[in-house]
Amino acid sequence: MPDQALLPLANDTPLLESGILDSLSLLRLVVFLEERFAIVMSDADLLPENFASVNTICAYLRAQESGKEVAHG
Amino acid sequence: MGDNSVPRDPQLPTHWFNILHDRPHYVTSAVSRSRLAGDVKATGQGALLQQPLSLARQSINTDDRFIPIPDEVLDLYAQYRPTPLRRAVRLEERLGANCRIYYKYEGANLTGSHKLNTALAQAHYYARAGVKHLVTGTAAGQWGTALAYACQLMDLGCTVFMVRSTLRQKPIRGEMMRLFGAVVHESPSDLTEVGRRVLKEDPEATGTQSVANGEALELVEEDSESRFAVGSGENSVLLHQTVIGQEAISQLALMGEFPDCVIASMGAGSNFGGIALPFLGAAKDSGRSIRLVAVESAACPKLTRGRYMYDLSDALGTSPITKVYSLGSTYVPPPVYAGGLRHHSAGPLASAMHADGTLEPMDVDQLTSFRAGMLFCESEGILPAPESAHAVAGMIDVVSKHPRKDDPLVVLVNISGHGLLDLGAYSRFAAEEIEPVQVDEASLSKSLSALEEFNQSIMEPAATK
Repeated sequence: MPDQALLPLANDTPLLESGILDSLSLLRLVVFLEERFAIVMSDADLLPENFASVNTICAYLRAQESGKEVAHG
Repeated sequence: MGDNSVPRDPQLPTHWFNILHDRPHYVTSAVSRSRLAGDVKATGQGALLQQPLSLARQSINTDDRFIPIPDEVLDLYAQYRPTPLRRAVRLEERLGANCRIYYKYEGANLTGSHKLNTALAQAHYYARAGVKHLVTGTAAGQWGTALAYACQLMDLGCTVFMVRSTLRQKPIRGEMMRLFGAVVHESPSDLTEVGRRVLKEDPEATGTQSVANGEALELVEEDSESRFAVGSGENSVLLHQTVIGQEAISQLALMGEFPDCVIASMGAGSNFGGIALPFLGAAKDSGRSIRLVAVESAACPKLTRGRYMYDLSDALGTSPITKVYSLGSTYVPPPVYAGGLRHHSAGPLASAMHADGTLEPMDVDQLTSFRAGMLFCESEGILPAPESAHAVAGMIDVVSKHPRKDDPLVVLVNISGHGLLDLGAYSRFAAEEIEPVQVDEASLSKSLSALEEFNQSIMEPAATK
């Protein structure tokens, strides 16, 4: 993606409302997370609450790692 | 294959051909929507994937050269595939050119065009993901018809926003969609904010694919069980259409042929990609060269006169910002009968093919295309859709320029659909009432300026927003 000029991004920056994540970048993020953390995501994982910010993505990944219940659609 | 399955012809491909494996640089280039000034309207479903992951992954898959077609889809393909490939001997005689002309005919299914190839696949993936309802925009109506039928087969609800000018030209398209259980709205409509905005500016607006898609996207934002489906442009859609080219390779091989040139019409790129991409792979494998000609409407010449820039694909403005050859999302092409060629931009994959010189664009006015369509009908007994007639016109141009002293040129043209629901247009042609509609220069100039300003705006540092 050519859009690598880094934007100010805090852990609680809203990713969806700000447009940082759209359908295409979300797909690329999913593929990245799957490869980086050796997980397989499903449609049920693609909820706004899981991708609202860096914090919620981290919480989702921690829950995946520990086998906890994460938000599902 | 289960006991109740339709017997499958050995020439029916079992996999789709994925060009992204051979050419990973064709993966869609995009910029973040956070670069948009003001309210980005990215909340709700607009920010999330409209496609199930199983389908969406196909658009960025660079690992697999061939992707298996699900059994359910293969069984449905087997009802109408392989589609015919024939040599157009009588047309060759009429043209008197130094060539052998072959055509692939995609109009011999219930819905009348190649669009069914992706409609069945998409409906399969959406249904498996638990989606209940699909919403879409359609221009010429071929995509809307195919999706309506596929949704009926997969027990999905379906709503179609069809561009006003084409729905009024051929209301029977709308009737077909309703026959398959779809709800059909003329676009622009007063059902959505997008439609109301357009109608307020111009109550007589003819509509565009961009507005129809915007209305469809707005509708799905209000219903968590609905999703937006798209009939062209997306990489996954082009992937599904590669059954066309793969079959053609096998069918031509039986006659000991490999084409010098493959020709198809260009809307956003699905029928072109469907026939051309497998030949690109086959040419690479065999060390041959091949010309790939994309024929667009002179009323909407995105490849020949557009800019390769970042643009939105719908009037609602919720789509990703992708790099495409575009006339600008505000360009309103003059109404032409080839409604399927009126989208303001080519899809990202077809655009990338033009950018690196793989694709050769050509524009044809609609009067020339109707002449070519009638000649094809008189010679071959098939009335091509107005979109496909553009491909025939392009093919005639190519073969007529081929030198007589050279070996005969072998060309393959994709007849993507039939024109039996376009008889009104052909009747007007016969009555000499069709004009060679060209681009609307004033509208184009304004739209291209807006596109350039949009690109300058999104390339400014984010801190200035």
